[in-house]
Amino acid sequence: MSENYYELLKVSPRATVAEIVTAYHAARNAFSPDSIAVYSLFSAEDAQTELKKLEEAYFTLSNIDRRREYDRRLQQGTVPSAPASAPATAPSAPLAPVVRLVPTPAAPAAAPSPQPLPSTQPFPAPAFFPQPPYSVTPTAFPAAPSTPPMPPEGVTGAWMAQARERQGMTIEDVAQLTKIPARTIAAIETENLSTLPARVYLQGFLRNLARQYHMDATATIQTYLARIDSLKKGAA
Amino acid sequence: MTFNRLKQPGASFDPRAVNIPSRGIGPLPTAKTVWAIGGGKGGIGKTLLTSNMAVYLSWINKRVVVVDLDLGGSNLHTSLGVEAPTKTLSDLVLGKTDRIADLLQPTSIRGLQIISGAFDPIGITSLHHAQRTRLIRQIDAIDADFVLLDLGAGTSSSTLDFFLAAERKIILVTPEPTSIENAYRFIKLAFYRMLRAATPSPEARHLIEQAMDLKNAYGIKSPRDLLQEMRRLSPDHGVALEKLMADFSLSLIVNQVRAKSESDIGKSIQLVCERYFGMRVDYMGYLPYDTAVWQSVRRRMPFLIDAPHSIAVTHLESILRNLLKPAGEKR
Repeated sequence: MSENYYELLKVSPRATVAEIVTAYHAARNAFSPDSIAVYSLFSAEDAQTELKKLEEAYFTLSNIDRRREYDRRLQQGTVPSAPASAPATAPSAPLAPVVRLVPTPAAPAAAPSPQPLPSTQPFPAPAFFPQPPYSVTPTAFPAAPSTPPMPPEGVTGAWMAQARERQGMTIEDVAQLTKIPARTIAAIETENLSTLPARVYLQGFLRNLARQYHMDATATIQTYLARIDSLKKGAA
Repeated sequence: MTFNRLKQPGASFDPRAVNIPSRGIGPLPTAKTVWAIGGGKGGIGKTLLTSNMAVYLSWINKRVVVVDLDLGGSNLHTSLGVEAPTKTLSDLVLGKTDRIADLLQPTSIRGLQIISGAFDPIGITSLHHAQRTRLIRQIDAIDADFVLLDLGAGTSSSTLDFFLAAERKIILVTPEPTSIENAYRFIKLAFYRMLRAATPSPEARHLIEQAMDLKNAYGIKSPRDLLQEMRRLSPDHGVALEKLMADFSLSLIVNQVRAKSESDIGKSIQLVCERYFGMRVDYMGYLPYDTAVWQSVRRRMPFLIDAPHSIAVTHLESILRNLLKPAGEKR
């Protein structure tokens, strides 16, 4: 059974970024190694495989450009395929006893002796896609960089705004996801010294935002705070 | 408010007196609905939940019958403050009566009746297939708006069949690995039992039976793998199996939640189950751990009556609102 990234995250193809992020976090919680919900139904290895697939899906769908490209390929039916769950391999030896189901046009009328099963048979095409099969292999997309390149002059408010827009999110989306007030996010992006929160809170907010935008949290905090310090000196 | 004030059978009870509004409920199903409450593990609050749900439904003017199907350890009557029953399911199973209606006993709550489980030392914990079928048919004939089945612990054939016979299949878990493990085992067995029973082809049934053995030769580890294998062997059967899986759904409730992180367990179980089984699981909500509930149990009273202002009541109401919505409606 193969499925696309939207089905994997259980979101609609028209889901907002906030919905995708929420679905991803819930699924990641469910399949994390310390989740008691996964215990006894999935092996640690299978749970890890599920997590990997979820991360692939999130990596693609949480970025507006990657998502657009993925949608385009889905529409064209050119996304290659992999099994959705841990693969069930057919026994290599002939089956014993033979499972012979109700004859189908393609099936032989009788199976006098155990016959090896065909190695693959395409699944019926999901109605959503024009052509089966499709799947996603890890090499189908460029690997996720651990952190996006940081600006050489350090992180600025404008850079934070660009990072948010690269994720296809509005300030309200980010506020909903991170629980950071929208006015604070706006203050960070506009470098509004009068409305920025106290340094200790700002540090936490920046860390949270950096995680959300897949940025290097330490470098973001250090360079942004340094910039704010210099702006304050200039203002004084 | 004490339970003694409600001792008279048929006495009416006004939910407004204890601030139990029925807001947001309805329109309710018009035909009779059978709900089964199971979960595999004992001591997780199935009886407590059943009795309180039954009280609530009767308060919103529904005719409710609760059936104690914990045949090895019936005690539903105790949690509803009913004295030791004189007639029990044993009478029906052993042929002392032909009509399940003879076993109905009134409670102190208007509209709520109870059928007690087996109450004799010999017990009727393991019913033959014919006895089970007859009992299910009799339960189906009960004249009520809601019939709630309080299932016992374990995964006996009887318990699984009672569970599968209900329209609303409710799984109760506590946020503990042992409870979740038992619940998964219960769901797995019930699920495969349903698939096997609904599959007429002996060959397809054979494959389902193979899938139930974790060390099967086909490498089938989950129902999703089974579906994949079935599609490969016979696309027609694959389509039929997929429909069976899609039509099977569960309602999930988490009990004894002590922290926010534990309430998230319900969502996690829902996702893991849907991923593993390929079925729909609706998370209905959770009941918090509440000392008031514990005290009500000791007083042998439903917490709806004994502790009407407890936080558990608010959560129970929310759970019931979800349960009373048509299946599949967004919660």
